[in-house]
Amino acid sequence: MSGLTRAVEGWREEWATMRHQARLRGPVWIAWQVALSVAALGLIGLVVYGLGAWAFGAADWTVVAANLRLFSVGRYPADEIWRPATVLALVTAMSGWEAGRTGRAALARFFGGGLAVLLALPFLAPLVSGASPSMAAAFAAFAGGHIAQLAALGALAAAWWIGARASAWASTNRPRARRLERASLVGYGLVVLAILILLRGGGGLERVSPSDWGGLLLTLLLAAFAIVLSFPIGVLLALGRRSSLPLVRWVSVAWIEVIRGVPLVTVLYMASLLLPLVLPEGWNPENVAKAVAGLTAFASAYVAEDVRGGLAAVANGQYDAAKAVGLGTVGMYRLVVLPQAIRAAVPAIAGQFISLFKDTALVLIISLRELLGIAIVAANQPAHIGRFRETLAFIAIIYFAFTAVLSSASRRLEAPAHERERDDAPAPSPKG
Amino acid sequence: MDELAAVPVSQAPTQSRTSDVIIEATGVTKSFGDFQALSGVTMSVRQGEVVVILGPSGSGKSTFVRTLNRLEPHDGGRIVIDGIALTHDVKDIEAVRREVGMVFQQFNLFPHLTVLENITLAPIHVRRWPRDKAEQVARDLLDQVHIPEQADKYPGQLSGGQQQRVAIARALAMQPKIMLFDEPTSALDPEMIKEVLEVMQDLAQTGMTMIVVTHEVGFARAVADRVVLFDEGTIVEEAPPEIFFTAPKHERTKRFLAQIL
Ligand SMILES: Nc1ncnc2c1ncn2[C@@H]1O[C@H](COP(=O)(O)OP(=O)(O)OP(=O)(O)O)[C@@H](O)[C@H]1O
Ligand SMILES: [Mg+2]
Repeated sequence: MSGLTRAVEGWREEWATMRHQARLRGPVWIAWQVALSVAALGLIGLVVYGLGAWAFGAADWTVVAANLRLFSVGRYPADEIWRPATVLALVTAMSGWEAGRTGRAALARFFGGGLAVLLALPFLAPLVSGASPSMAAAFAAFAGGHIAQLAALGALAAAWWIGARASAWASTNRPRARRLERASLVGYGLVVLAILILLRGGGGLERVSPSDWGGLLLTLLLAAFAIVLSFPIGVLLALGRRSSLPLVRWVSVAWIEVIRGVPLVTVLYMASLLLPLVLPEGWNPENVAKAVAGLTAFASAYVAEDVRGGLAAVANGQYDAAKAVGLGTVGMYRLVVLPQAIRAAVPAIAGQFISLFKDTALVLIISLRELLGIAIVAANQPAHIGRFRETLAFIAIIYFAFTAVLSSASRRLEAPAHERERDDAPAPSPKG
Repeated sequence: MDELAAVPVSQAPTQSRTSDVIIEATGVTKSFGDFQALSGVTMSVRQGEVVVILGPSGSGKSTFVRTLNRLEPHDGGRIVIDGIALTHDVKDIEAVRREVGMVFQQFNLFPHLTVLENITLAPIHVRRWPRDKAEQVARDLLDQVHIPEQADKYPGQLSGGQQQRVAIARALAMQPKIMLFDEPTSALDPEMIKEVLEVMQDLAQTGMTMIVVTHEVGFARAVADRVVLFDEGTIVEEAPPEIFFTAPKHERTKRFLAQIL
């Protein structure tokens, strides 16, 4: 609502500026502006009309409708589909809980927004293809998926509400707050474990080979693991880079520079081909694990550079003050330097992770079938041969939905960082 | 409650101006590349003494004070703080830093922490006090520097004078035996200098051992036991304030005083 008011406010301002300009610059300028606007509108109209005509006319969306399960979970067995559905609900519940408990809603927005788009998409399908019989069937098949998504959204909302309650319950009581914090951390660990067990099977559950994981499920898994793992590694690399031990420094610099000097495709190939060579005999990890290793290695080097930038933003006086109050090197970095450095690096790191989310598409080359892989597989099915435009347009919408929410969430993260920066400046004069 | 009320200042030695030497610097030298910032500084400070260091810009005042808690390692000479000789030994350095508080010209508060967190950080993580005790001590100290109501604000929300008083409280929270001040009022507007100097004067009265680099002659006259003039990395003159300001021995001191008085 406030976003809308702000948008309207913005348009009004723009309109006022324009009228002011028009008065100042006279009729030639106005004519020129009008011509430019008409040309731009015409161009946009052409593109929209072309796309629309294709989407509502020539395009045959049955390739998407018939393969929705492939797009969402890959070759995960149909009977076991409740397992990824549960995982989805667990993850959204976790993000909701975190949002409610701490007010950090970035993840919850990411999942909530992404899911909302996914939920909306199939409603467009009958609109696009008319009410053909095949569509009706596809739509019925989709209802199952819908239940899972709705359940996940419900879990998110419920956990958010409970998290907010819990945080209110603990807000007046420090030991309680610390217990809540600790319980949450343990809970997150358990949830991650539960997710892996649920997806892989074992212990009573039927085994599902990770090579059968695919589609959006795999995209999200790869991105999530690579992000969560590359962040601490990147921080350590950034610190290693300024270590006083030459070996540590050298290894960190070599890691960062080599990885940054090589395309991600190469890193993924190397992870796939080299990892089995350096690991103990007979220990050949799944392709999914190799992909996570490659993506993590890649992202960690970039995170390290972002954190290095953040470290440079920390004033020398902070080190002096930390030492002067008696903190050792570890305490100085953990309590004083890194919190400031990471806060300053958040915008850059968020951008990095948005790229990483899209870059997961490259695991195609080590024969994993995430969204892009499925798009290609689906368009090669005999019934839908050559329908690449439809499948690629479909996954483009999904990628865009998730990255759009991710970047709007990261903008929210950036705001406090800017505030802090202002605080950081020494205040030789009174501020009020 | 009684034990909590025992805030650092009241724990400082009650019979001040004893003769025990607590800082012993002998022939301290320090170079930055080719430039010799300290060329043999010898100074000894007794417990409870307040020493004010004056001197022109670049004369090595900051450098000397920073060698006393080893923010700058010295190249030559010997520094003994409360019986601990400063060497490369990390354990010794950290032991000295626990006993020596420092206040900087630019305050150097931790901008990502609230005032209360700034003050309790080291007591909790270095002294390993329970949080409740650390917070109680911190609140008492905020009372003592006259800003009890600012505990939950961030440093960026305070005036310069308030920030500097928080910085003093932060240093005192570790219950140091020695306090170092490096131009604590030089970044402040005139109307705030007074509030900070008052806090420092109160502190001196409790018997705290203090080394203060400052240009505030009034403070030196009123509070110092001894005034020291630095020039070109050495001590030129050293005398009680009555003598230093009225009957200096050295030509250099006279010229310096003529400039600042
Ligand atoms: N880290 C450093 N690297 C190189 N030179 C330095 C460094 N720190 C200080 N110096 C030099 O050492 C000399 C003494 O500096 P110091 O800061 O101790 O002077 P000061 O007496 O405190 O002066 P001021 O009144 O300006 O603070 C100066 O010439 C300064 O340029
Ligand atoms: Mg100085």
